Amino acid sequence: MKNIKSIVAVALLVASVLVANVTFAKTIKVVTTTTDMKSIAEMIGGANVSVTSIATGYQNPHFVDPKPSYIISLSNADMFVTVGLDLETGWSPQLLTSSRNTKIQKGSPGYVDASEGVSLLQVPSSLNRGEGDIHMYGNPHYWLDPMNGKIIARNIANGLERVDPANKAMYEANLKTFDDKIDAKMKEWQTKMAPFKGANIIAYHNEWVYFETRFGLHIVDFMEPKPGIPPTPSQLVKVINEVKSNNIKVIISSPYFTTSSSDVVAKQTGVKVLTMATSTGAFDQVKSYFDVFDYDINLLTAALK
Amino acid sequence: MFEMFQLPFMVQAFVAAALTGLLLSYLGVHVVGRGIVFVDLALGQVSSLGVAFAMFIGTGLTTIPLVFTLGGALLMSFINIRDKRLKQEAIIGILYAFASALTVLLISKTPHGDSDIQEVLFGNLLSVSWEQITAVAIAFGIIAIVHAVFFRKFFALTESFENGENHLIGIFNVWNFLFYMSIGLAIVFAVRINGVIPVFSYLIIPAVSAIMLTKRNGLVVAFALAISLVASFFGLDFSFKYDFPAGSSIVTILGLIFVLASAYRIAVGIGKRKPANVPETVDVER
Repeated sequence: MKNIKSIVAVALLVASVLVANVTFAKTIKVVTTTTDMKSIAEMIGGANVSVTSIATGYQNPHFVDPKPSYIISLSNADMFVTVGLDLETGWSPQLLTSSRNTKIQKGSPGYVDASEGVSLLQVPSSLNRGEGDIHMYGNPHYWLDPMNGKIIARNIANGLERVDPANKAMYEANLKTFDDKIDAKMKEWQTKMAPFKGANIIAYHNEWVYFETRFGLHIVDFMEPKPGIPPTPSQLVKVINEVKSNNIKVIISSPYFTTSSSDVVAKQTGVKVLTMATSTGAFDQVKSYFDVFDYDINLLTAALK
Repeated sequence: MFEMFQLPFMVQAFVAAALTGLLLSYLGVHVVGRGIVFVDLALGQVSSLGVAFAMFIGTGLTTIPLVFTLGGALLMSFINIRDKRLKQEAIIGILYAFASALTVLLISKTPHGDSDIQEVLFGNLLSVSWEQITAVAIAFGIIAIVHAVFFRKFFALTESFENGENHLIGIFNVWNFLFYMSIGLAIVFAVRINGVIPVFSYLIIPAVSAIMLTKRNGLVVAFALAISLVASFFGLDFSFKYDFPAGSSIVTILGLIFVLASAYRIAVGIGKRKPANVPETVDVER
Protein backbone atom coordinates (compact mmCIF):
# COMPACT_ATOMS: atom_id res chain seq x y z
CA MET A 1 0.00 0.00 0.00
CA LYS A 2 2.78 2.34 1.02
CA ASN A 3 4.68 1.46 -2.14
CA ILE A 4 1.75 2.21 -4.41
CA LYS A 5 1.30 5.59 -2.75
CA SER A 6 4.91 6.54 -3.25
CA ILE A 7 4.87 5.34 -6.87
CA VAL A 8 1.81 7.47 -7.54
CA ALA A 9 3.47 10.43 -5.84
CA VAL A 10 6.62 10.04 -7.92
CA ALA A 11 4.60 9.64 -11.11
CA LEU A 12 2.63 12.81 -10.34
CA LEU A 13 5.82 14.66 -9.62
CA VAL A 14 7.40 13.54 -12.90
CA ALA A 15 4.23 14.44 -14.78
CA SER A 16 4.05 17.89 -13.24
CA VAL A 17 7.69 18.55 -14.08
CA LEU A 18 7.03 17.50 -17.69
CA VAL A 19 3.95 19.71 -17.93
CA ALA A 20 5.84 22.60 -16.35
CA ASN A 21 8.65 22.17 -18.86
CA VAL A 22 6.24 22.26 -21.77
CA THR A 23 4.58 25.47 -20.57
CA PHE A 24 7.90 27.10 -19.65
CA ALA A 25 9.40 26.23 -23.00
CA LYS A 26 7.14 28.83 -24.59
CA THR A 27 8.31 31.65 -22.32
CA ILE A 28 10.91 33.90 -23.92
CA LYS A 29 13.63 34.71 -21.39
CA VAL A 30 14.75 38.32 -21.73
CA VAL A 31 17.63 39.92 -19.82
CA THR A 32 17.96 43.70 -19.88
CA THR A 33 20.76 45.89 -18.55
CA THR A 34 18.44 48.43 -16.89
CA THR A 35 14.98 48.49 -15.31
CA ASP A 36 13.48 50.84 -17.91
CA MET A 37 14.28 48.35 -20.65
CA LYS A 38 12.74 45.64 -18.43
CA SER A 39 9.56 47.63 -17.87
CA ILE A 40 9.08 48.28 -21.60
CA ALA A 41 10.00 44.69 -22.56
CA GLU A 42 7.34 43.41 -20.13
CA MET A 43 4.70 45.65 -21.68
CA ILE A 44 5.58 44.52 -25.23
CA GLY A 45 6.12 40.84 -24.43
CA GLY A 46 3.12 40.45 -22.14
CA ALA A 47 2.59 37.00 -20.65
CA ASN A 48 4.92 35.49 -23.25
CA VAL A 49 8.12 36.75 -21.69
CA SER A 50 9.92 36.64 -18.38
CA VAL A 51 12.22 39.63 -18.00
CA THR A 52 15.06 40.25 -15.56
CA SER A 53 17.16 43.38 -15.29
CA ILE A 54 20.81 43.33 -14.22
CA ALA A 55 21.03 46.85 -12.77
CA THR A 56 18.57 48.10 -10.17
CA GLY A 57 16.66 51.36 -10.63
CA TYR A 58 18.55 53.23 -7.90
CA GLN A 59 21.99 52.23 -9.13
CA ASN A 60 24.22 54.34 -11.36
CA PRO A 61 24.04 52.38 -14.65
CA HIS A 62 27.66 53.30 -15.40
CA PHE A 63 28.89 51.01 -12.59
CA VAL A 64 27.60 47.51 -11.79
CA ASP A 65 29.47 45.00 -9.61
CA PRO A 66 29.33 41.58 -11.35
CA LYS A 67 27.68 38.66 -9.53
CA PRO A 68 27.53 35.02 -10.72
CA SER A 69 23.74 35.18 -11.18
CA TYR A 70 24.08 37.89 -13.85
CA ILE A 71 26.20 35.63 -16.03
CA ILE A 72 23.96 32.62 -15.34
CA SER A 73 20.79 34.47 -16.35
CA LEU A 74 22.57 35.74 -19.48
CA SER A 75 23.66 32.24 -20.42
CA ASN A 76 20.03 31.05 -20.28
CA ALA A 77 18.55 34.08 -22.04
CA ASP A 78 16.80 34.10 -25.42
CA MET A 79 17.13 37.85 -25.80
CA PHE A 80 19.34 40.63 -24.41
CA VAL A 81 18.39 44.32 -24.37
CA THR A 82 21.01 47.03 -23.84
CA VAL A 83 20.54 50.80 -23.55
CA GLY A 84 23.63 50.97 -25.73
CA LEU A 85 25.93 53.84 -26.74
CA ASP A 86 28.50 53.66 -23.99
CA LEU A 87 26.25 53.66 -20.93
CA GLU A 88 27.14 50.12 -19.84
CA THR A 89 30.56 49.64 -21.49
CA GLY A 90 32.19 49.14 -18.08
CA TRP A 91 30.41 45.85 -17.41
CA SER A 92 27.88 44.51 -19.93
CA PRO A 93 30.25 43.44 -22.78
CA GLN A 94 32.36 41.45 -20.29
CA LEU A 95 29.30 39.73 -18.80
CA LEU A 96 27.99 38.98 -22.30
CA THR A 97 31.29 37.36 -23.31
CA SER A 98 31.44 35.32 -20.10
CA SER A 99 27.91 34.00 -20.71
CA ARG A 100 29.07 32.28 -23.93
CA ASN A 101 25.47 32.40 -25.13
CA THR A 102 25.66 32.69 -28.92
CA LYS A 103 21.95 33.62 -29.17
CA ILE A 104 22.47 37.04 -27.59
CA GLN A 105 25.92 38.17 -28.74
CA LYS A 106 26.23 41.39 -30.71
CA GLY A 107 24.85 40.80 -34.22
CA SER A 108 22.78 37.74 -33.22
CA PRO A 109 18.95 37.86 -33.55
CA GLY A 110 18.61 37.93 -29.75
CA TYR A 111 20.73 41.08 -29.32
CA VAL A 112 18.73 44.30 -29.07
CA ASP A 113 20.39 47.72 -28.95
CA ALA A 114 17.48 49.90 -27.84
CA SER A 115 19.19 53.10 -29.00
CA GLU A 116 18.87 52.19 -32.68
CA GLY A 117 17.13 55.05 -34.48
CA VAL A 118 17.15 57.50 -31.56
CA SER A 119 18.13 61.06 -32.55
CA LEU A 120 21.03 61.57 -30.21
CA LEU A 121 21.85 64.83 -28.50
CA GLN A 122 25.26 66.21 -27.56
CA VAL A 123 27.22 64.12 -30.05
CA PRO A 124 30.75 65.48 -29.68
CA SER A 125 32.36 66.99 -32.77
CA SER A 126 35.80 65.95 -31.55
CA LEU A 127 36.49 63.50 -28.76
CA ASN A 128 38.36 65.16 -25.94
CA ARG A 129 38.35 63.40 -22.61
CA GLY A 130 39.67 66.47 -20.86
CA GLU A 131 36.45 68.30 -21.75
CA GLY A 132 34.32 65.53 -20.31
CA ASP A 133 33.14 64.29 -23.68
CA ILE A 134 33.49 60.69 -22.69
CA HIS A 135 30.25 59.76 -24.42
CA MET A 136 31.69 59.49 -27.90
CA TYR A 137 28.35 58.54 -29.52
CA GLY A 138 26.28 61.21 -27.79
CA ASN A 139 24.48 61.52 -24.46
CA PRO A 140 23.24 57.99 -23.53
CA HIS A 141 20.44 59.01 -21.13
CA TYR A 142 17.90 59.08 -23.98
CA TRP A 143 15.15 57.06 -22.23
CA LEU A 144 14.33 60.19 -20.18
CA ASP A 145 12.36 61.49 -23.17
CA PRO A 146 9.03 59.54 -23.30
CA MET A 147 8.95 59.85 -27.08
CA ASN A 148 12.20 57.89 -27.22
CA GLY A 149 10.35 55.25 -25.16
CA LYS A 150 8.41 54.51 -28.35
CA ILE A 151 11.65 53.89 -30.27
CA ILE A 152 12.91 51.61 -27.49
CA ALA A 153 9.59 49.72 -27.60
CA ARG A 154 9.86 49.37 -31.41
CA ASN A 155 13.39 47.95 -31.12
CA ILE A 156 12.32 45.50 -28.42
CA ALA A 157 9.30 44.41 -30.48
CA ASN A 158 11.61 43.83 -33.48
CA GLY A 159 13.84 41.67 -31.30
CA LEU A 160 10.95 39.61 -29.92
CA GLU A 161 9.62 39.07 -33.45
CA ARG A 162 13.04 37.81 -34.58
CA VAL A 163 13.28 35.41 -31.64
CA ASP A 164 9.61 34.35 -31.63
CA PRO A 165 8.08 35.07 -35.08
CA ALA A 166 4.97 32.99 -34.30
CA ASN A 167 3.64 35.66 -31.93
CA LYS A 168 4.34 38.66 -34.11
CA ALA A 169 0.71 39.81 -34.16
CA MET A 170 0.55 39.90 -30.38
CA TYR A 171 3.78 41.91 -30.04
CA GLU A 172 2.55 44.38 -32.64
CA ALA A 173 -0.75 44.77 -30.77
CA ASN A 174 1.09 45.35 -27.47
CA LEU A 175 3.36 47.87 -29.18
CA LYS A 176 0.29 49.76 -30.44
CA THR A 177 -1.19 49.81 -26.91
CA PHE A 178 2.13 51.08 -25.53
CA ASP A 179 2.45 53.84 -28.14
CA ASP A 180 -1.15 54.94 -27.57
CA LYS A 181 -0.55 55.10 -23.83
CA ILE A 182 2.60 57.19 -24.33
CA ASP A 183 0.66 59.59 -26.57
CA ALA A 184 -2.17 59.91 -24.04
CA LYS A 185 0.21 60.37 -21.09
CA MET A 186 2.32 62.78 -23.12
CA LYS A 187 -0.63 65.19 -23.39
CA GLU A 188 -1.15 65.01 -19.63
CA TRP A 189 2.56 65.60 -18.91
CA GLN A 190 2.85 68.47 -21.40
CA THR A 191 -0.21 70.16 -19.87
CA LYS A 192 1.28 69.90 -16.39
CA MET A 193 4.65 71.23 -17.51
CA ALA A 194 3.25 73.99 -19.79
CA PRO A 195 3.20 76.76 -17.11
CA PHE A 196 6.92 76.19 -16.46
CA LYS A 197 8.16 76.43 -20.02
CA GLY A 198 11.61 78.00 -20.11
CA ALA A 199 12.08 77.65 -16.31
CA ASN A 200 15.73 77.88 -15.30
CA ILE A 201 17.09 74.97 -13.27
CA ILE A 202 20.42 73.49 -12.19
CA ALA A 203 21.21 69.77 -12.66
CA TYR A 204 23.80 67.74 -10.78
CA HIS A 205 24.98 65.57 -13.69
CA ASN A 206 24.50 65.97 -17.43
CA GLU A 207 21.83 63.26 -17.79
CA TRP A 208 18.69 65.37 -18.26
CA VAL A 209 19.23 66.83 -21.72
CA TYR A 210 16.48 64.69 -23.35
CA PHE A 211 14.02 65.47 -20.55
CA GLU A 212 14.96 69.17 -20.69
CA THR A 213 14.48 69.36 -24.46
CA ARG A 214 11.13 67.53 -24.43
CA PHE A 215 9.54 69.54 -21.62
CA GLY A 216 11.03 72.94 -22.44
CA LEU A 217 13.10 73.43 -19.32
CA HIS A 218 16.38 75.32 -19.35
CA ILE A 219 19.35 73.81 -17.51
CA VAL A 220 21.59 76.76 -16.73
CA ASP A 221 24.52 74.82 -15.26
CA PHE A 222 25.58 71.59 -13.59
CA MET A 223 26.85 70.97 -10.07
CA GLU A 224 29.65 68.97 -11.67
CA PRO A 225 32.15 71.32 -13.35
CA LYS A 226 32.61 68.65 -16.04
CA PRO A 227 30.58 65.41 -16.33
CA GLY A 228 31.91 62.92 -13.78
CA ILE A 229 34.02 65.44 -11.83
CA PRO A 230 32.61 66.07 -8.32
CA PRO A 231 31.69 69.70 -7.51
CA THR A 232 34.70 71.90 -6.73
CA PRO A 233 34.66 75.02 -4.51
CA SER A 234 34.87 77.38 -7.51
CA GLN A 235 31.96 75.57 -9.21
CA LEU A 236 29.87 75.94 -6.02
CA VAL A 237 30.53 79.69 -6.01
CA LYS A 238 29.62 79.90 -9.70
CA VAL A 239 26.36 77.96 -9.19
CA ILE A 240 25.41 80.06 -6.13
CA ASN A 241 25.81 83.25 -8.20
CA GLU A 242 23.82 81.77 -11.09
CA VAL A 243 21.01 80.70 -8.74
CA LYS A 244 20.83 84.21 -7.28
CA SER A 245 20.98 86.13 -10.57
CA ASN A 246 18.57 83.87 -12.51
CA ASN A 247 16.11 83.32 -9.66
CA ILE A 248 16.54 79.55 -9.99
CA LYS A 249 14.17 77.50 -7.84
CA VAL A 250 15.44 73.91 -8.08
CA ILE A 251 18.51 71.71 -8.41
CA ILE A 252 17.69 68.25 -9.81
CA SER A 253 19.80 65.25 -8.84
CA SER A 254 19.59 61.42 -8.93
CA PRO A 255 19.41 58.75 -6.19
CA TYR A 256 23.04 57.68 -6.74
CA PHE A 257 24.62 61.11 -6.27
CA THR A 258 25.22 62.66 -2.85
CA THR A 259 23.25 65.86 -2.32
CA SER A 260 25.76 67.32 0.16
CA SER A 261 27.18 69.95 -2.21
CA SER A 262 23.71 70.78 -3.58
CA ASP A 263 22.60 71.25 0.05
CA VAL A 264 25.36 73.84 0.49
CA VAL A 265 23.88 75.83 -2.40
CA ALA A 266 20.39 75.32 -0.94
CA LYS A 267 21.45 76.74 2.45
CA GLN A 268 23.02 79.80 0.84
CA THR A 269 20.20 80.57 -1.59
CA GLY A 270 17.00 78.80 -0.54
CA VAL A 271 16.92 76.73 -3.75
CA LYS A 272 15.17 73.33 -3.47
CA VAL A 273 17.14 70.10 -4.08
CA LEU A 274 15.01 67.44 -5.83
CA THR A 275 16.16 63.83 -6.06
CA MET A 276 14.39 62.73 -9.23
CA ALA A 277 13.83 59.23 -10.59
CA THR A 278 16.22 58.46 -13.46
CA SER A 279 14.93 54.90 -13.92
CA THR A 280 12.06 52.55 -13.11
CA GLY A 281 12.48 51.34 -9.53
CA ALA A 282 14.46 54.40 -8.41
CA PHE A 283 11.93 54.66 -5.56
CA ASP A 284 9.33 52.17 -4.30
CA GLN A 285 6.42 53.97 -5.93
CA VAL A 286 8.15 54.18 -9.35
CA LYS A 287 7.02 50.79 -10.64
CA SER A 288 6.98 51.26 -14.41
CA TYR A 289 8.50 53.38 -17.16
CA PHE A 290 5.39 55.63 -17.05
CA ASP A 291 5.79 56.14 -13.30
CA VAL A 292 9.25 57.68 -13.88
CA PHE A 293 7.69 60.67 -15.64
CA ASP A 294 4.66 60.84 -13.32
CA TYR A 295 7.01 60.97 -10.34
CA ASP A 296 9.48 63.48 -11.79
CA ILE A 297 6.84 65.81 -13.22
CA ASN A 298 4.81 65.86 -10.00
CA LEU A 299 7.98 66.63 -8.03
CA LEU A 300 9.09 69.37 -10.42
CA THR A 301 5.72 71.11 -10.82
CA ALA A 302 5.24 71.18 -7.04
CA ALA A 303 8.67 72.74 -6.52
CA LEU A 304 8.50 75.25 -9.41
CA LYS A 305 5.10 76.70 -8.38
CA MET B 1 29.78 21.13 -4.16
CA PHE B 2 31.47 21.14 -7.55
CA GLU B 3 28.39 22.27 -9.50
CA MET B 4 29.93 25.70 -10.07
CA PHE B 5 32.54 24.09 -12.31
CA GLN B 6 29.85 23.24 -14.86
CA LEU B 7 29.97 26.91 -15.81
CA PRO B 8 33.05 27.96 -17.80
CA PHE B 9 33.25 31.42 -16.20
CA MET B 10 33.43 29.89 -12.71
CA VAL B 11 36.24 27.57 -13.84
CA GLN B 12 38.14 30.60 -15.18
CA ALA B 13 37.49 32.54 -11.97
CA PHE B 14 38.78 29.62 -9.88
CA VAL B 15 41.94 29.17 -11.96
CA ALA B 16 42.68 32.90 -11.75
CA ALA B 17 41.94 33.03 -8.00
CA ALA B 18 44.01 29.91 -7.29
CA LEU B 19 47.01 31.24 -9.26
CA THR B 20 47.00 34.56 -7.40
CA GLY B 21 46.28 32.84 -4.10
CA LEU B 22 49.22 30.43 -4.41
CA LEU B 23 51.80 33.07 -5.34
CA LEU B 24 50.58 35.75 -2.94
CA SER B 25 50.27 33.43 0.06
CA TYR B 26 53.89 32.34 -0.51
CA LEU B 27 55.10 35.97 -0.83
CA GLY B 28 52.97 36.73 2.22
CA VAL B 29 55.17 34.52 4.40
CA HIS B 30 58.08 36.87 3.57
CA VAL B 31 55.97 40.00 3.92
CA VAL B 32 54.66 39.00 7.36
CA GLY B 33 58.14 37.86 8.42
CA ARG B 34 59.65 41.21 7.50
CA GLY B 35 56.81 43.08 9.19
CA ILE B 36 55.83 45.06 6.09
CA VAL B 37 52.15 44.05 5.74
CA PHE B 38 51.14 47.41 4.30
CA VAL B 39 53.59 47.08 1.42
CA ASP B 40 50.73 45.68 -0.65
CA LEU B 41 48.30 48.52 0.04
CA ALA B 42 51.06 51.07 -0.63
CA LEU B 43 52.07 49.43 -3.93
CA GLY B 44 48.40 48.94 -4.85
CA GLN B 45 47.89 52.65 -4.28
CA VAL B 46 50.97 53.50 -6.36
CA SER B 47 49.48 51.31 -9.10
CA SER B 48 46.19 53.24 -9.01
CA LEU B 49 48.17 56.47 -9.03
CA GLY B 50 49.63 55.12 -12.29
CA VAL B 51 46.10 54.50 -13.58
CA ALA B 52 45.02 58.01 -12.59
CA PHE B 53 48.07 59.45 -14.31
CA ALA B 54 47.45 57.42 -17.48
CA MET B 55 43.81 58.59 -17.46
CA PHE B 56 44.93 62.18 -17.00
CA ILE B 57 47.33 62.18 -19.95
CA GLY B 58 44.96 59.92 -21.91
CA THR B 59 47.34 57.09 -22.81
CA GLY B 60 49.41 54.19 -21.46
CA LEU B 61 46.77 52.51 -19.32
CA THR B 62 48.67 49.22 -19.15
CA THR B 63 52.31 50.35 -19.11
CA ILE B 64 52.21 53.39 -16.79
CA PRO B 65 50.75 51.59 -13.73
CA LEU B 66 53.35 48.84 -14.20
CA VAL B 67 56.22 51.35 -14.41
CA PHE B 68 54.88 53.27 -11.39
CA THR B 69 54.52 50.13 -9.28
CA LEU B 70 57.97 48.78 -10.13
CA GLY B 71 59.38 52.25 -9.40
CA GLY B 72 57.63 52.23 -6.02
CA ALA B 73 58.95 48.74 -5.30
CA LEU B 74 62.45 49.90 -6.18
CA LEU B 75 62.15 52.83 -3.77
CA MET B 76 60.95 50.50 -1.03
CA SER B 77 63.86 48.13 -1.55
CA PHE B 78 66.18 51.00 -0.51
CA ILE B 79 64.37 51.48 2.79
CA ASN B 80 66.66 49.99 5.39
CA ILE B 81 66.30 51.65 8.71
CA ARG B 82 69.12 51.62 11.23
CA ASP B 83 67.48 54.01 13.68
CA LYS B 84 65.69 51.82 16.22
CA ARG B 85 63.05 54.47 16.93
CA LEU B 86 61.73 54.16 13.36
CA LYS B 87 59.94 51.25 11.76
CA GLN B 88 59.91 50.45 8.04
CA GLU B 89 56.12 50.31 8.21
CA ALA B 90 56.00 54.04 8.96
CA ILE B 91 57.82 54.92 5.73
CA ILE B 92 55.53 52.58 3.76
CA GLY B 93 52.54 54.27 5.37
CA ILE B 94 53.82 57.67 4.26
CA LEU B 95 54.18 56.39 0.69
CA TYR B 96 50.60 55.08 0.87
CA ALA B 97 49.17 58.40 2.05
CA PHE B 98 51.22 60.40 -0.44
CA ALA B 99 50.20 58.22 -3.40
CA SER B 100 46.53 58.33 -2.29
CA ALA B 101 46.56 62.13 -2.12
CA LEU B 102 48.17 62.45 -5.57
CA THR B 103 45.58 60.02 -6.97
CA VAL B 104 42.73 62.12 -5.56
CA LEU B 105 44.25 65.29 -7.07
CA LEU B 106 44.58 63.70 -10.51
CA ILE B 107 41.09 62.15 -10.43
CA SER B 108 39.55 65.51 -9.55
CA LYS B 109 40.74 66.80 -12.94
CA THR B 110 39.77 63.69 -14.95
CA PRO B 111 36.11 63.17 -16.04
CA HIS B 112 34.73 59.83 -14.81
CA GLY B 113 38.20 59.15 -13.40
CA ASP B 114 36.83 57.44 -10.32
CA SER B 115 35.00 54.85 -12.42
CA ASP B 116 38.25 53.89 -14.18
CA ILE B 117 40.03 53.64 -10.84
CA GLN B 118 37.20 51.49 -9.47
CA GLU B 119 37.52 49.13 -12.39
CA VAL B 120 41.21 48.61 -11.60
CA LEU B 121 40.78 48.45 -7.83
CA PHE B 122 37.92 45.96 -7.74
CA GLY B 123 39.03 43.65 -10.52
CA ASN B 124 36.94 41.42 -12.75
CA LEU B 125 37.33 37.91 -11.35
CA LEU B 126 33.99 36.73 -12.77
CA SER B 127 34.70 37.91 -16.30
CA VAL B 128 38.40 37.08 -16.52
CA SER B 129 39.42 35.65 -19.91
CA TRP B 130 41.82 32.78 -20.68
CA GLU B 131 44.15 35.32 -22.33
CA GLN B 132 44.38 37.26 -19.05
CA ILE B 133 44.91 34.01 -17.13
CA THR B 134 47.72 33.00 -19.51
CA ALA B 135 49.47 36.37 -19.09
CA VAL B 136 49.20 36.10 -15.31
CA ALA B 137 50.37 32.47 -15.33
CA ILE B 138 53.50 33.42 -17.29
CA ALA B 139 54.35 36.39 -15.03
CA PHE B 140 53.67 34.43 -11.84
CA GLY B 141 55.50 31.38 -13.20
CA ILE B 142 58.68 33.42 -13.68
CA ILE B 143 58.44 34.85 -10.15
CA ALA B 144 57.78 31.38 -8.73
CA ILE B 145 60.78 29.87 -10.54
CA VAL B 146 63.13 32.62 -9.28
CA HIS B 147 61.90 32.05 -5.74
CA ALA B 148 62.06 28.27 -6.01
CA VAL B 149 65.64 28.31 -7.28
CA PHE B 150 66.90 30.86 -4.73
CA PHE B 151 64.63 29.70 -1.91
CA ARG B 152 67.44 29.82 0.68
CA LYS B 153 68.66 33.30 -0.29
CA PHE B 154 65.21 34.84 0.10
CA PHE B 155 64.49 33.12 3.40
CA ALA B 156 67.90 34.03 4.82
CA LEU B 157 67.12 37.66 4.03
CA THR B 158 63.66 37.52 5.62
CA GLU B 159 65.12 35.88 8.73
CA SER B 160 67.66 38.65 9.08
CA PHE B 161 64.75 41.13 9.15
CA GLU B 162 62.90 38.93 11.64
CA ASN B 163 65.93 38.86 13.93
CA GLY B 164 66.60 42.57 13.62
CA GLU B 165 69.90 42.01 11.84
CA ASN B 166 68.90 44.01 8.79
CA HIS B 167 71.60 46.62 9.51
CA LEU B 168 74.08 44.03 8.25
CA ILE B 169 72.56 44.30 4.76
CA GLY B 170 74.03 46.95 2.45
CA ILE B 171 72.09 49.79 0.85
CA PHE B 172 71.74 47.82 -2.34
CA ASN B 173 71.21 44.12 -1.93
CA VAL B 174 70.35 42.23 -5.10
CA TRP B 175 68.08 39.75 -3.26
CA ASN B 176 66.24 42.53 -1.52
CA PHE B 177 65.79 44.26 -4.88
CA LEU B 178 64.52 41.03 -6.51
CA PHE B 179 62.14 40.47 -3.61
CA TYR B 180 60.51 43.90 -4.00
CA MET B 181 60.37 43.52 -7.80
CA SER B 182 58.53 40.21 -7.43
CA ILE B 183 56.09 41.77 -4.94
CA GLY B 184 55.53 44.73 -7.28
CA LEU B 185 54.93 42.55 -10.36
CA ALA B 186 52.68 40.14 -8.47
CA ILE B 187 50.55 42.99 -7.11
CA VAL B 188 50.09 44.76 -10.47
CA PHE B 189 48.84 41.57 -12.13
CA ALA B 190 46.86 40.28 -9.16
CA VAL B 191 45.07 43.59 -8.50
CA ARG B 192 43.83 43.83 -12.12
CA ILE B 193 42.00 40.54 -11.71
CA ASN B 194 41.10 40.32 -8.03
CA GLY B 195 41.00 43.89 -6.71
CA VAL B 196 43.01 45.50 -3.91
CA ILE B 197 41.31 44.10 -0.80
CA PRO B 198 41.29 40.44 -1.97
CA VAL B 199 44.98 40.80 -2.92
CA PHE B 200 45.83 42.20 0.51
CA SER B 201 43.91 39.33 2.14
CA TYR B 202 45.60 36.66 -0.01
CA LEU B 203 48.97 38.10 0.93
CA ILE B 204 48.47 38.40 4.69
CA ILE B 205 45.76 36.03 5.97
CA PRO B 206 47.14 32.63 4.80
CA ALA B 207 50.63 33.52 6.09
CA VAL B 208 49.40 34.74 9.49
CA SER B 209 47.03 31.76 9.90
CA ALA B 210 49.80 29.32 8.94
CA ILE B 211 52.18 30.87 11.48
CA MET B 212 49.50 30.36 14.12
CA LEU B 213 49.12 26.71 13.16
CA THR B 214 52.78 25.62 13.12
CA LYS B 215 56.25 26.65 14.23
CA ARG B 216 58.18 24.92 11.43
CA ASN B 217 59.20 27.20 8.55
CA GLY B 218 58.68 24.66 5.77
CA LEU B 219 55.22 23.80 7.07
CA VAL B 220 54.26 27.49 7.30
CA VAL B 221 54.71 27.82 3.53
CA ALA B 222 52.83 24.58 2.85
CA PHE B 223 49.93 25.60 5.13
CA ALA B 224 49.74 29.08 3.60
CA LEU B 225 49.53 27.60 0.08
CA ALA B 226 46.86 25.14 1.17
CA ILE B 227 44.81 27.84 2.91
CA SER B 228 44.86 30.04 -0.20
CA LEU B 229 43.55 27.16 -2.33
CA VAL B 230 40.83 26.21 0.17
CA ALA B 231 39.73 29.85 0.45
CA SER B 232 39.64 30.30 -3.35
CA PHE B 233 37.44 27.25 -3.73
CA PHE B 234 35.03 27.89 -0.85
CA GLY B 235 34.99 31.65 -1.51
CA LEU B 236 33.83 31.13 -5.09
CA ASP B 237 31.46 28.38 -4.01
CA PHE B 238 29.93 30.82 -1.49
CA SER B 239 29.70 33.53 -4.15
CA PHE B 240 28.10 31.08 -6.58
CA LYS B 241 25.57 29.57 -4.14
CA TYR B 242 24.39 32.77 -2.49
CA ASP B 243 25.08 35.19 -5.36
CA PHE B 244 27.63 37.57 -3.85
CA PRO B 245 30.45 39.50 -5.55
CA ALA B 246 33.35 37.07 -5.89
CA GLY B 247 36.23 39.08 -4.39
CA SER B 248 34.45 39.91 -1.13
CA SER B 249 33.28 36.31 -0.76
CA ILE B 250 36.88 35.04 -0.92
CA VAL B 251 37.98 37.63 1.66
CA THR B 252 35.13 36.55 3.95
CA ILE B 253 36.23 32.89 3.80
CA LEU B 254 39.87 33.90 4.41
CA GLY B 255 38.69 35.87 7.46
CA LEU B 256 36.83 32.81 8.78
CA ILE B 257 39.94 30.65 8.31
CA PHE B 258 41.90 33.19 10.35
CA VAL B 259 39.29 33.00 13.14
CA LEU B 260 39.55 29.18 13.14
CA ALA B 261 43.37 29.32 13.23
CA SER B 262 43.22 31.76 16.16
CA ALA B 263 40.79 29.49 17.99
CA TYR B 264 43.16 26.54 17.42
CA ARG B 265 46.11 28.57 18.70
CA ILE B 266 44.21 29.58 21.84
CA ALA B 267 43.02 26.00 22.44
CA VAL B 268 46.54 24.61 22.06
CA GLY B 269 47.91 27.38 24.28
CA ILE B 270 45.47 26.49 27.06
CA GLY B 271 46.17 22.78 26.66
CA LYS B 272 49.92 23.26 26.89
CA ARG B 273 49.95 25.72 29.75
CA LYS B 274 48.70 23.46 32.53
CA PRO B 275 51.39 20.76 32.61
CA ALA B 276 54.23 23.17 31.85
CA ASN B 277 56.22 24.63 34.69
CA VAL B 278 58.30 27.11 32.77
CA PRO B 279 58.45 30.55 34.44
CA GLU B 280 57.12 32.51 31.46
CA THR B 281 53.93 30.46 31.21
CA VAL B 282 53.37 30.83 34.93
CA ASP B 283 53.67 34.52 34.35
CA VAL B 284 50.92 34.40 31.76
CA GLU B 285 48.63 32.38 34.01
CA ARG B 286 48.81 34.95 36.70
